[in-house]
Amino acid sequence: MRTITELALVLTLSSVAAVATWKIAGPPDRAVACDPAALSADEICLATVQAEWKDVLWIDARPEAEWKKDGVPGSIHLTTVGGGSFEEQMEASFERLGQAQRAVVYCGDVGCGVSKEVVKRLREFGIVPEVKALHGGTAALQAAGLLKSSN
Amino acid sequence: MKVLILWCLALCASLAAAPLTFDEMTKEIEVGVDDKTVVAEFNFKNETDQVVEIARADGGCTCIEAGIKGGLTYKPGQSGLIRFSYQIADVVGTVEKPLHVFLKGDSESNPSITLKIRVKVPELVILEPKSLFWNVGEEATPKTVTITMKDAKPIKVTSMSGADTRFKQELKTIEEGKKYEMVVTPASTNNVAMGVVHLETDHPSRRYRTQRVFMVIKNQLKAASAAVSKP
Repeated sequence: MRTITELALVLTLSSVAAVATWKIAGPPDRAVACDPAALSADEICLATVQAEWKDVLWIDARPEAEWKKDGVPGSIHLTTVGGGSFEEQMEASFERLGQAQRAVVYCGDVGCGVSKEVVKRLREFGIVPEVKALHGGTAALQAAGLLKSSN
Repeated sequence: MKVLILWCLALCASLAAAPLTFDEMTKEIEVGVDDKTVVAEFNFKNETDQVVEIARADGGCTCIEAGIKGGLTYKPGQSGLIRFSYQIADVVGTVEKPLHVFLKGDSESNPSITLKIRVKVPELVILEPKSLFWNVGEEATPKTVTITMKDAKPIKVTSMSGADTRFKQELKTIEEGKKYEMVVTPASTNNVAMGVVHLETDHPSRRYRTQRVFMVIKNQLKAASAAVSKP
């Protein structure tokens, strides 16, 4: 009985502390943590893109239906999952790719891996001088309000 | 209070334990020219003293299906197998795919276990380089793409087509079915231009039938931002 009372006390106190923190500091920060120093050479943080990369071409590497549903406005679609060959997709967006100086590829989440694959394949063609995969993918974009579905 | 603290410590210890032990975390698979699907099987064992529950296995894309043989709950010492089936489509070259295993309680962005498959699809038609570049204002010199066939059987280039009149292209046969050269010359380098040449081969697999060479005449300075269309 004593243990249950103590457990109830601990839960009550922690709940009060949580509510107080919410009221004072606001809702939790849902931004995806990203340390540029800890990234691989293929990746980039959203904060770096926003601060240093102007006129960036966004490339959505998710399945086409997801891109159409809530892709970054102005983005193109290029992926290694499903659909036609990579070169076929490149041809469909070639005017945009050919004019881009910098491109950032994003996919579904932190570990989806498709964005890095797209970066690797794009580099083989050398058409976009600088291309990186976005760390955090759509989670980072959603938190920053950059997806069509973001509010 | 001691009971409560001990209970919390026991819970933390069980959460920190390594959940499942796999024979291999990465599998390398070489596929045949005509293969459309790759299957990778990962054997595992629960070597902890706790029951481990798998929530789901996920390849992170619609091209990968995952199946778990042996159920979702594993007692200490119990073994199981996770099978991933990957639809390769028209991919050529080396592809790496992460495969996530989510245990009960994992967040959507942080699976307890990440496996990997590295799939090597033979490259039978090698284009070198894959793209040709000129800068605006530079001399409109011809540039060459070498096409080398890496199959035991000959692969012939049956046609070449380029709809863009801003580039002229010529195909030279060095050795029929083995090696070709395509020479591309821009009509002018006065303006930014882009073009694509299609090369069709007689290979029976769709994966190797159509090849593309990309040509770009671009400004050395940063281009103006592109028009926004979709989505």
